[in-house]
Amino acid sequence: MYRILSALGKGSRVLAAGSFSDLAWLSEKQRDRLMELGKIGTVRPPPLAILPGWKRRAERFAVQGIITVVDFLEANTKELVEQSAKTGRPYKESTIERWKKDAKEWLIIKPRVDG
Amino acid sequence: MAQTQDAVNACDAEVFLDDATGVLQDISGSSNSVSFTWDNSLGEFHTFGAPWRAMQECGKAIDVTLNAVYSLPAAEAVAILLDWWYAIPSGRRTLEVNMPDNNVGSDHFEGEYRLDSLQATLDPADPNATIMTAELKSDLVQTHTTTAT
Repeated sequence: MYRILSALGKGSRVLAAGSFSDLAWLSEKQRDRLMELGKIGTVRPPPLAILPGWKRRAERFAVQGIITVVDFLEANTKELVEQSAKTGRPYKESTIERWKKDAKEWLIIKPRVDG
Repeated sequence: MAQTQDAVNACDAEVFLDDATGVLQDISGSSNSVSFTWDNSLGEFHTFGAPWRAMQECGKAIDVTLNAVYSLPAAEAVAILLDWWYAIPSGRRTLEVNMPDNNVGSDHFEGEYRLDSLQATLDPADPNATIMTAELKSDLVQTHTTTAT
């Protein structure tokens, strides 16, 4: 997962500065070049446990080795549902997707707007 | 201060301009300079009792000077520019520039422009290629992205 530091053009699509992406369509060499130019950076994701309202949830995911927001976003939703079912307190797929959407917000840096 | 290892020149820059049908044509091979002026509209004021100037900003615009090498094919710069000027109304067209080239990491500038003027001097004593100069003015949103495809 990479932090987009400068707007990237992918055909007619623009990845905004402050967002993040796995840049999977680029080769490692191309990603290294963008890194070298300071156009992207590595994401240093916060642990799930520090997100407001996530303490209990984070403890349950930690058992599966999911510690940070990026670990959570990259985890397969269906597998998370299956793992949670084994604990007797299953999560719904839609719930996990909603949490992923929420968690993603914590990684996005909003552009600065001042007078 | 560290010496940059990434200085670039514009030898392999690419310039694209819409033709009359709205298809982007690569006019890099029929133009030899593009000059950008990025204008940031600033206003200033002073208030009583305060010695320092205060400023605020409002509009942004880009003015482009494009030098085209005079050639005849329809898909090359001069024919596109002449066709643009003679169309009534001339309308807006897309201009895209890749600097220093179109590789990953390059700058990509894109936006809609109006043709402000065209100028060419036809000089029988000059053996050099005739150059046509187009002045373009940005119309609406302009974008600057890093090429990542």
